[in-house]
Amino acid sequence: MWSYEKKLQYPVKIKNPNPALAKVIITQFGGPDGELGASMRYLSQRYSMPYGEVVGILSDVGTEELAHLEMVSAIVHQLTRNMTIEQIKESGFEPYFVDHTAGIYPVAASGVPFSAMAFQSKGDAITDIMEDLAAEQKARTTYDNILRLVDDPDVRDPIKFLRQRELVHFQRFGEALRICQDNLDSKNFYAFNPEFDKGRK
Amino acid sequence: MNKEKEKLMKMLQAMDFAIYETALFLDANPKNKRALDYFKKAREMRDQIREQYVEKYGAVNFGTIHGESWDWVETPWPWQYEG
Repeated sequence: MWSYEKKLQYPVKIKNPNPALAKVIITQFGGPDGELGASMRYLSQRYSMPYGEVVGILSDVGTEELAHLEMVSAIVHQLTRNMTIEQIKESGFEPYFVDHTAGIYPVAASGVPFSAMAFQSKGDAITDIMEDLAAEQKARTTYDNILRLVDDPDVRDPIKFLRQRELVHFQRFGEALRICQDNLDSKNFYAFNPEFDKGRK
Repeated sequence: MNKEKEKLMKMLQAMDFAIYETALFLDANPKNKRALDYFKKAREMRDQIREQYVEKYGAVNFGTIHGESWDWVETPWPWQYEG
């Protein structure tokens, strides 16, 4: 189970609303490489994973991603608070506004709603950890792209924190891959699937 | 948000971060004694800071609710901008 901590993992304090930025940053909530997909990916992959260390990493990174989607949502919320209709029109925020007003909804920057098709839980240790490594890099690239688009230091600061976390998670998943491989047949990592083939882990 | 509250919250966030980061390292390196010692030390420091924060500004989770009224719904939510 989970229990709520009434605080953000890292402060988000944005003085100036800016719906144009909200439109691109929302992608890290509900987009193809966003925090919602990240969290669901790792938390779903845990159940058939045979190695305790790797289950620990998936559980704790998956939990941190929940904290990250709260941070991304806080950024989008603060960027869209007290908007006037003029500001909505000037910033091209109308398509989001007409569907969600100033509510927070998981969509990509392109407007496509969140889809579980953006992640996998394949039930094969090597396959899943390889996906996780790639996922952290894709999220890192997205944060790099956001940083190219954003000048406001109030927005850049929490985005830089989130970007940095992708690197740490990548590091931990690298260790998770090593742990999986250490438990497998060193001559052929693919000789069996430790999440499925009975008695082999 | 007043400066004192902001400062204490930042310290709490920093200590919780240290604990979390060490826990994640320990998941992958469970036999690392130095990391485990650091984890316990950091958790002790976090508990002290959390106690100070909670006493002045209210609960941060169900475990720290001690008041006579349910002010959980009155203290600000973390995404609310406080200038």
